[in-house]
Amino acid sequence: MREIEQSWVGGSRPRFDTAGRVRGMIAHVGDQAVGAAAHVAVHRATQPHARIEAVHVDEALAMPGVYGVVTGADLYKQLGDRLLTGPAFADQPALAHEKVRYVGEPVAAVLAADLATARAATDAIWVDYEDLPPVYDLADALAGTAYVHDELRPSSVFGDLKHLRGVRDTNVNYTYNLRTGDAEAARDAGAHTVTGEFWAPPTHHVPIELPCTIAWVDSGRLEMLTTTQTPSYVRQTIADLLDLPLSRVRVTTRPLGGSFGAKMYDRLEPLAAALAWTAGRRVRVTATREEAFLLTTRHGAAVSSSLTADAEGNLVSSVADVRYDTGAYADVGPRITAKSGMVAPGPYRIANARVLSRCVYTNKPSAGPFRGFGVPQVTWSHESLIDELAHELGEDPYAFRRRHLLREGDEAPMGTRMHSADFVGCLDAVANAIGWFDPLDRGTGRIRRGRGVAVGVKAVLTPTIANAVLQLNQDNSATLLISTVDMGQGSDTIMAQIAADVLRMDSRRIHVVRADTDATPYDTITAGSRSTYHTGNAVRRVAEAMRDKLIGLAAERFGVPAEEVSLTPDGPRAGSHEVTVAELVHGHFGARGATLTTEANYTSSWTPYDKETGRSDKVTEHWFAGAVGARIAVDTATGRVRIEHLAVAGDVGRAINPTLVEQQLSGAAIMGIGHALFDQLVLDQGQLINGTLLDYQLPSIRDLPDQLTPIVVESPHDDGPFGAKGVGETGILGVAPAIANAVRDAVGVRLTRLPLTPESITMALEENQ
Amino acid sequence: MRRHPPTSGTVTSGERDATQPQVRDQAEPSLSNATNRVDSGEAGQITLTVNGVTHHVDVADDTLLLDALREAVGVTSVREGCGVGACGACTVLTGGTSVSSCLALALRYDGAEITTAEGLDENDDVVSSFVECGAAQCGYCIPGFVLMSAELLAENPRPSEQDITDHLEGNICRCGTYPEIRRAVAVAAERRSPK
Ligand code: FES
Ligand code: FES
Repeated sequence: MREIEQSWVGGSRPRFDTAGRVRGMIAHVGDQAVGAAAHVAVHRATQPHARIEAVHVDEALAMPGVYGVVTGADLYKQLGDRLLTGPAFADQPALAHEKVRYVGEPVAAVLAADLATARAATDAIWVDYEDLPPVYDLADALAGTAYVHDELRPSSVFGDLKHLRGVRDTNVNYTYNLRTGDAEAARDAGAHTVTGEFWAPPTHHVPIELPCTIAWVDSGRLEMLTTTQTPSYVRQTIADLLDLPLSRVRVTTRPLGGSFGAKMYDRLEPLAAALAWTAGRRVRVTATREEAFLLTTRHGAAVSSSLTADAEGNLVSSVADVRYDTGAYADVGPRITAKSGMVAPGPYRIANARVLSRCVYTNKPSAGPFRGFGVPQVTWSHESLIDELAHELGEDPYAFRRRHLLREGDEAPMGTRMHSADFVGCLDAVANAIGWFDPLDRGTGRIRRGRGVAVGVKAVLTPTIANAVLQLNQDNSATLLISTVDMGQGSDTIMAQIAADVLRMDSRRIHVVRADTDATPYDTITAGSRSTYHTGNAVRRVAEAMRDKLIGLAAERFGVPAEEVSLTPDGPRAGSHEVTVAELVHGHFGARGATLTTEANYTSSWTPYDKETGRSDKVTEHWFAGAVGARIAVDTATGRVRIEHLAVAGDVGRAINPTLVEQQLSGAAIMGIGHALFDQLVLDQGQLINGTLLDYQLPSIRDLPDQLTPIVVESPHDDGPFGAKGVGETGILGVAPAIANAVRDAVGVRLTRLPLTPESITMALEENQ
Repeated sequence: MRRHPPTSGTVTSGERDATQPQVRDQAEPSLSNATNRVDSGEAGQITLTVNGVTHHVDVADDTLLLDALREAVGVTSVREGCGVGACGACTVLTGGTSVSSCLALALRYDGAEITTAEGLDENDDVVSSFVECGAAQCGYCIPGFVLMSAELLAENPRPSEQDITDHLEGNICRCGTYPEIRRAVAVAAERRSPK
């Protein structure tokens, strides 16, 4: 392959900035000098649920270096109900107003000359509370005696939540129902039913870069530099909050030091904007690691479910009651509830399915999006159940799944057909990789070996909008303007590869501009594994428009019809006519350094699901299909699990950059190992008790499996750019159940609560004796 | 291995058992420093030689080496990921020994020679191996891994896979770049002392 082709689609060219990243020479938001800014620290609630009687700030205000103290009441006076923001429900104030709803909620903000002074001053603030009955967990919330919010307040972002406005006396802010056939009757009539009560605990993203927002006012405009995956969303939120036209809000970003869903929607930005705007000065808001734990979490989820087969072993019924604990504020929980509820039966041919999926408020830190968007929690349930059903029927868990997996063109229980979702290919690949068909040394004495597989399915966020603007410079380099945020996944690299492939140029000559809402066009969000497909398609189109423009100019210059001109790496050609891009553009403008500009849009569409049945013939633009295989050894004395081989496969349609795809798969798998074995947020009476990195365990290099095999499966999508789809979440879906299924295979116990701690395994072994 | 929490005035301190649970045992907890500034006074000026360049830096009693490096010297490869010595993003080398700068009081490093990842040449064995092996996704944690790897190879030119794991286990890469990092360290070792 020529070097230039290595920089196109399918080439594993390195990230353009690896050398800078390795030596730490890429500037992140927190590295920006801010000059004479006010540094902000926050006083946080000590009660899980209480009315705020009074906030005493005089002592803090009197401290040298303190510029001001702002409370929720102060902000409410200026902004009214606009203070309440959120992607699904306008329920979250930047500073608590009237009530606090979780321990750690921001109550007052101190602006000071430096961060240490600001933090010290927060300790000098006192709040008088009148305690309200706390809603500590899902059981409290569904008992319906105390309510986290007096009434539901759907935001204007999602039109389909309108009917919930003003609903009172409930902690359930959203319910998704799936009804296909009669699942209860089919279960009762079925020959074999397995059931389970599953629990996936709340966890935290812990991107190593801490969040940071710098906001200032410039000529009546609110400008900010912030760690966000969602610059276009943040611009809209700030415009609404301050009642400004979009043209008077500017949101800029830098590359993120990881995010995984932590830095999106409303984090530090509403507070920073409100403070900068009302104080009229530059503010810098940051969070310690301990505070970052409180900003957002992954939903803890309980699933009560069953799976039924008839006498021939056909799957006839799936029933699931799913409860997502969304904490004090809904964030995007309602969307998570629907998107994962609809795949709760799993990627199988099942005639009858019933899912009740609910998003539930509690007095805890808010839960929001996290790599997988709620789907790992339901995958935990359906992949444990089908495994158990296979055992009950005396069938091979791999072969049993394979028989029932959805194939191309099959309709899933929620009514949408499968395309470019090669579950069978993924399952076969991981089974082969871990030696499923070879004899297994099951071990002797305290060490016992086992193998497990799991399959996952997830819908891409739909509908969404992507835009791209391309400027081709006269020297045949280019500047690509998109609002996708590179947070390590390598979007800046693969978007350049897509454009360069179309334009037959070296992708290393394309610069991707960091999202800046003054310059880069609207893009829904960088999340939900949507960018490769959506923004990738906008980039493909913008490059095609540029190719057509170049060909038109060349046809004019050569005096031939456009159809006769082709674009090559050396420039346009037609028979014996040839010209370089640099000469062509120079000739057109008569100037060095001139630019040609094109723009393009890509918008996906869906059919909203029916409110009663949850069904839709097109609930999503496309599907992610993944599978995980695990071979493990359990030490029956200590309960420790050693992962000898973990194989993770994802159908990506077409890998734009195979090396980056493999990194997404293996990186997601490593994160999934934490979720399987130890990762969890522990709360006691609403108080987070392990919210520091001394106490919160994350996978380290020691937790790597002896062998980790990422496998790229390609079944091209008809409408993907070059057939491609995203991959950021695919690898994490099935990790925990694959490992739990391997534990079942090794030692015969079925665990239904994550994480699979050594204690939980030894306890289950004891009970089994 | 854990990076050294500063326990005395010297910049080299004893190694610790990696199997010990991580506890908040340093003399001056960093977080409460940040929120307990009231009594601290200006302590004066120290000299830090960072990547060969000498800087005179004004610090208070409780200024962390991390903050002195980032805010006064202008080094950005040294990063706060946890503030409690548990992630390794703030690692620097002083006299070749790794230190968690989030736990280190700047005052105690008066006169120290400090190396950060920016200070390593791009042709350095460790840096070039990381680049070649694609051992960076978001990259935020990577300078810390690079410095830990440089320390390891200086002490142990031919580390086994287990040695690499033992030395790097105190650093967290949330993107999960561990396989590439492990490969990069092995490649660097091979490059530096070919078998
Ligand atoms: S910031 Fe120092 S070890 Fe994490
Ligand atoms: S590369 Fe992102 S945290 Fe390590």
